[in-house]
Amino acid sequence: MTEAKPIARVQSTKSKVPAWLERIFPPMVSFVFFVTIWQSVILIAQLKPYILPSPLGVINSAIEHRESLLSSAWFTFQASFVAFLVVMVLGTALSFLLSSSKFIEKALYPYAVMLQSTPVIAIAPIIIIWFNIGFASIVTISVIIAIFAVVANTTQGLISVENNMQNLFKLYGASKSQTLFKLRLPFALPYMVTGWRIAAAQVVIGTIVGEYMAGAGGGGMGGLGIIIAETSARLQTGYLFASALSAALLGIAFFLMVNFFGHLLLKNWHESAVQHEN
Amino acid sequence: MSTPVSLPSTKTLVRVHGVDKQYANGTIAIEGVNLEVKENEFVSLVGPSGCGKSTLLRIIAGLGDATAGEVSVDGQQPGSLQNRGQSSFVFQEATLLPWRTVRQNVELPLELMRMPKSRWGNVVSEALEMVGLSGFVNAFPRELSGGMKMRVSIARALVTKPRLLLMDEPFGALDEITRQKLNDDLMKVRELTKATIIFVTHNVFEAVFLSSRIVVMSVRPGRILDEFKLDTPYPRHSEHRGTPEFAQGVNSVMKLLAHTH
Ligand SMILES: Nc1ncnc2c1ncn2[C@@H]1O[C@H](COP(=O)(O)OP(=O)(O)OP(=O)(O)O)[C@@H](O)[C@H]1O
Ligand SMILES: [Mg+2]
Repeated sequence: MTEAKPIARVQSTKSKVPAWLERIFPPMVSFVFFVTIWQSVILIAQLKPYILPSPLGVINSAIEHRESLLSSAWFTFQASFVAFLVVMVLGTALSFLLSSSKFIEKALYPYAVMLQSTPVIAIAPIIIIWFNIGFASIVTISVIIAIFAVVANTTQGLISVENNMQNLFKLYGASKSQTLFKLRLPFALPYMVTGWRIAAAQVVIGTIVGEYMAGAGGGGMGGLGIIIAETSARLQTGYLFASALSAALLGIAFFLMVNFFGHLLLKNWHESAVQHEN
Repeated sequence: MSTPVSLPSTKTLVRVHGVDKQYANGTIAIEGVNLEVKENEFVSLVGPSGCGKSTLLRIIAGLGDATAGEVSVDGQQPGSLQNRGQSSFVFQEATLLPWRTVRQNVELPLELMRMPKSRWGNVVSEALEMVGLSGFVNAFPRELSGGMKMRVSIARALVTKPRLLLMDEPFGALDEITRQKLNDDLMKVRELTKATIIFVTHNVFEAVFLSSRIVVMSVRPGRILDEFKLDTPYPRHSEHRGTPEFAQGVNSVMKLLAHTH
């Protein structure tokens, strides 16, 4: 009985560490470790900045080019946003088509998979022939990269409605629109949100790839993809690292934004229903 | 003190005549099933797993069609417009919509039947009260225990004031204590609603406690082998489980069931 006290004290000191600190502590440790190694490798191996810039060099370069980085990131954000809207509308519409009949699903799904597994490198030239260099082509490439996540997840949600829930609706003579709005859509919502979250990350990647291949260059006015293309050609490696970092931050910001709206939409749902990530 | 014996009405509510069911994959689930259920009866269907109890119940609900034979509920075809809301179904899982509150789940049948809100009156509150859930109307299903979820499911089935309640192993997933409590409460619900009940179960104790008649089915293809009447008058209370009458009933039904395997 007396041993219980010290054990209890150990537990109470442990719980004094705030949860958020416990969460960010490990990544902070690895960050410091990683940056130290990075800096040491440069010092020891005497690497030239165009091979590997130092962490400080990257920060300096980001500050030096902050204006064109910001305007490029803004361009990339706009293109990503438009692509995301297109992906949501088109992807959801396609999913309804796919889930409306087994025949349509079987007839179309292989082509969706085919489109998904064709490298964008092969499709991009065709898109540029049709839409020219610029915004439209960039958005199209981004949509092609990101739409599959929405289609796959939404279709999955629409076809997994529990059998007995459907029986319940049948029992009371529910109409098609009642079944759609009161059962299928709300049931599929957690799956749809999962698709949007994946698409949110992919749409930024897709936009940067699109800019790289179909962006209009010149003075950093064509998005982060163009800066990446130009700086790598000119061996401005510090600037290249800074733009890659900006791209990563933009992707995270976009993901968090979509994640936040997803959580708002799903706040009535059981957590377990929300965990459909593969 | 004499308990009033509820006189069995002579009116037949459910008529199943020569019903076969063969599924698309060739499985013959039930064959030549005849069953008549009178108004105010409590009939339990027992039998080995896979013998077609759910199949039969779904046909009576109008959720599936028979391959051959005739089925009527109150003289109408099951699932017909006139019958809508007259038969309710309680599934083994509570089958609640997780994005709706308890009250909204119970309101669902009225919405689906497009009954104008002005005509709802107190039915929703009454149904919730009958299953003892008045304090939880705004809770979401995730906040409820398994037993409480099943109560919501029963309230939802009662909200249309059905004459026939079809229950497919509704308490199969619950622990014994919760099951007994829900059995006791189902007896009260039966008293209040006067509904006719067809109940599928694997639990002999439950069947003997609840039923006025137990129907025993054979292994697949399911046929009706035998039946057993229990004359203990309703309402039955939990003390009934301690009576010699109850023990005798359990014994007899166990013996009948042994022959099906
Ligand atoms: N949709 C279906 N398609 C094909 N076969 C089915 C279908 N539904 C049920 N069956 C088969 O019909 C038989 C009867 O099934 P049913 O569900 O009615 O049995 P049950 O008596 O309710 O069984 P349990 O006690 O396990 O619930 C089983 O062999 C089952 O595999
Ligand atoms: Mg069954």
